[in-house]
Amino acid sequence: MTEISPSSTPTPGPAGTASAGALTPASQRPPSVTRQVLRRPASLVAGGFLLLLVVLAVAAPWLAPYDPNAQHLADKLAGPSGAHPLGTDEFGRDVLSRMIYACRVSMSAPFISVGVACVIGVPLGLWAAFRGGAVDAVTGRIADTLLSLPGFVCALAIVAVLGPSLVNAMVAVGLAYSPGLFRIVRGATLSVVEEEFVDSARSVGASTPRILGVHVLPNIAAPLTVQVSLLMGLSLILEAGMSFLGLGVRAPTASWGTMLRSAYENQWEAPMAVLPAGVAMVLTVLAFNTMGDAIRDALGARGRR
Amino acid sequence: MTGADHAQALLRATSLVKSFPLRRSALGRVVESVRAVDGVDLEVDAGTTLGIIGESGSGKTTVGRMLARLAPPDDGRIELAGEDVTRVRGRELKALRRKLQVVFQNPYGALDPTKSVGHAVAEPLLVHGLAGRRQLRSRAEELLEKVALDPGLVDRYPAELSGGQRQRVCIARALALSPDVLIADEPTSALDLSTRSEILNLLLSLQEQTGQGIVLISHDFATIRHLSHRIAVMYLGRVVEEGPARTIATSPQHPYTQAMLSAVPVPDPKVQRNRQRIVLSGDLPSPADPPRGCRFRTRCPVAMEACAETDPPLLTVGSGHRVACLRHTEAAPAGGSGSDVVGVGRALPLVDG
Amino acid sequence: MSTPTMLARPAHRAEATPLLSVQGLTIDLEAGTTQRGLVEDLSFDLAEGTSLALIGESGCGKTLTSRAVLGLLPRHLKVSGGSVMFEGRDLVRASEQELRQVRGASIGMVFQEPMSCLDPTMTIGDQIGESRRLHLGENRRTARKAAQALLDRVGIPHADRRVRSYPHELSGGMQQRAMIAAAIACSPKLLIADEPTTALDVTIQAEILDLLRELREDLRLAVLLVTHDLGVVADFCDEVVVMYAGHAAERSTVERVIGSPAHPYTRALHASTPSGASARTYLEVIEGRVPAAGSFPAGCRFEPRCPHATAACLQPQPEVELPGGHRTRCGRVAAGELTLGEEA
Repeated sequence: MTEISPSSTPTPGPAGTASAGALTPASQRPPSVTRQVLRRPASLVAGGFLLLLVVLAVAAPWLAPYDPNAQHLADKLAGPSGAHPLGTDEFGRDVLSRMIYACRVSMSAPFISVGVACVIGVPLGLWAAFRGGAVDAVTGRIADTLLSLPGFVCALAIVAVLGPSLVNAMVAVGLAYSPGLFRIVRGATLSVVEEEFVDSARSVGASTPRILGVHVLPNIAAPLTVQVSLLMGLSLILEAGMSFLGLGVRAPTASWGTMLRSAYENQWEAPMAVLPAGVAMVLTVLAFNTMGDAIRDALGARGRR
Repeated sequence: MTGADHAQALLRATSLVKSFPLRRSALGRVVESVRAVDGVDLEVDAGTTLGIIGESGSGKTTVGRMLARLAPPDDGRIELAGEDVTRVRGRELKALRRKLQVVFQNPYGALDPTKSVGHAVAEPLLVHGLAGRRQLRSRAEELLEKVALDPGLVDRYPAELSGGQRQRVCIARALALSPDVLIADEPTSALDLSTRSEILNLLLSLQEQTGQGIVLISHDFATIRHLSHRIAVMYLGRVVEEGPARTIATSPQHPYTQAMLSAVPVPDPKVQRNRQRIVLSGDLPSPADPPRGCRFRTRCPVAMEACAETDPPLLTVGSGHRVACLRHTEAAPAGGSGSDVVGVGRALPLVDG
Repeated sequence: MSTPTMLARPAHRAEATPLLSVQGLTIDLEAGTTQRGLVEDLSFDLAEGTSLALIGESGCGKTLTSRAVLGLLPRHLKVSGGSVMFEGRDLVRASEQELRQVRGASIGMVFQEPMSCLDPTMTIGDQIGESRRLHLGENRRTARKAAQALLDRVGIPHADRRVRSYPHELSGGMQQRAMIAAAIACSPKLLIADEPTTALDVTIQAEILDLLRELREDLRLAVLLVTHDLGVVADFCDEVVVMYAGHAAERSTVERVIGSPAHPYTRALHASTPSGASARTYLEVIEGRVPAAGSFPAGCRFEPRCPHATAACLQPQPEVELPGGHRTRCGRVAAGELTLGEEA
């Protein structure tokens, strides 16, 4: 075997030459997450719907035809009409206006509760999975214990202590969901932590917070997104449930939960009154889930090796 | 080539031990464990490559992880340029990282898929505060040039690169801190055959340019032989033979080394079909329950009764050449008699041909 | 180790026609138009009792070829041309039922990762006996006794106990032996082995190759070996087909392909492989990388990386037979313009 002189060591520039088959051409690179999400009709519709709710929530005073608490007692429990496209409730309040104002609650409540759940569950999940050992054992057991209690009952108990209000209710819901989120984050982290790039980060001297925040968190973004989107929907339902029981939003504030309550109380007189709030909730939860799926798929395509 | 008696080796490991738990009691106490590494001594001099070869269960990867300070040794010492770095933590550990870097085995898993190539390569500089944010990009481009990659790749993501390119990015990342020692665990095993020579050449030229010490870990003897100045052969957690690469390749003294080398097929049918092979009997014993006495005796073609009683220590049998086998005594006459004792004919052509 | 009579071969057959004859095999992606010629115009013959290697690196199509012989291609791929003649039947055109009769009975297959190919919920005795029950109609007890004999034959100690073991209770080398036992259970004439030793330690690899050699002699077993290791080829095989990006770059006896390669790829591969003699020198580098399935060049598929390429190489290169039976796809070598030199 003849010796080849050192000058024939690899020279730079294979990317520019014919062997540029070496690189995926820019046109074949997976597009950004936003673009992928916008490309799918389902997520486009879902995203548009959620955006509409946000607009309604923000611009409610300008968009609602009536004051949501104004009572038109002459028109109690009226069906849809020109003046009240969605009818009125048992106090004569315009349902459409109440629906629009209710978006404020619906678009803020899930964020509060999911926010609380994330602040507690995500860092703990990351840390427990990374450290392992006693830390993991202890936090895991606490989470398991909390998980064995039904979320709703937990939230009720917390609200009973703190007093009923939207924020208290949502914080309670967030606390109730944090063990579940902790478990998910811990599980996802456990598999990422096995990857060599985490070892690589350790070997260059990165600190634990850096490894968790910069390397692990983006790589668990996909399952985390799905879980967050599910939690948004669940929080919405839980908020409605608590408001239904009078433990969240208090009357006369409009929320889909309180509207369902009044529809429930007047179900014999106006059986269709349950539809607006009910349908709105179904569509919103569906929208959250669809967006979550779309983002997860887009993240998956980007992160694929 | 200096051997085990050299006063100031760049990296020296003494009596490394590492166990892993197999079973725990209900309260978490370890009931059964396996000694992956059971007393290993190694040395690397500046500008040289130590090749560690072993098959599955040999513990070579664990040794690599201990040297890289990714797994703490249960016992033993690690010294870098004479300084004991076995138990350093915190700031000292971080400072150590600047001198000792790792090239990982799997280029497909060793790079964060969510980070660009530039980020991967410059991250060590960021972590150690060696470059401001503005300079990171240009430093990253310099590093890519060092490993003969187009500097324009800084903005690409690992998924867009080939295996060979990714491995070069890993090497560039390992070079960012200008370490004194590089630990390379199977750097070419995951690569296509036609790209392996690129990486081997790169490691060779880098060592010539920087004078780094390299610890090369592999199960492939050809790779080890190609790059190493010295070779250490591991079996079931121990070093059974070590010495200059040429000596190990042409006149191995330990029965395991001889068997392993005779099993490596030579891509030349005339040679390969006429070779005498040493056949090992039986399977690898469980590392959790190694044989009493010499660990290799259950498969050794020339085991004696004494082998079941005494665990042979590493003895010097030649210049810089040590073997752990009862059939060898300290500083036996070089070469010849060792081979004859084990019954292997001189006509055994090995990998060197 | 006694060879049970049930494994003994009947009288020899005439050797006029090769046992397996692959002619012009072409494999495409089923629906799309971009991924064509994943394997293109591949031909080789395998005589009874001999062994042939398909060697190449990842993406060359060697595994696809081995699967195509038994009709085991993944659903999105299909054989779009050529034939696979085995015992007078074209397996490409055979029905699924006919193929099922062949698989396990006349052709056995061994895969790379025994742990993922052995059913973890069945004892190895049952798995080995399965094909005997299927093809030879044996009942469970008889099949199990046969399995025990087979385990013994492939060198697994304590066969009587191992018959009742589950795959995870065996080491990697033992699992591979068990898979070989399953593959030869019905005394096939052809064994297809897809990288059977790649996942094993080199000492175990040597033992498995020894075993295959014994079986080849005792059972007059023809072996189609898929591998990327030239050393394994030199050790075990009579003939070799060097594959690159779906084409057969060259094919001939092992001595000729290794001793006097007739294709730049083979020569370059050999020159870029480290060996003892090359210690601490710079190896040859093959620039560029293996083309991806959708972007094969129209002419010689190695042309973009070949140091000897000329404009003529951009044209499709047919397979040419050189004097002595050595076949190559390199037009320049075939025309005598290029000599690649002898290896030491």
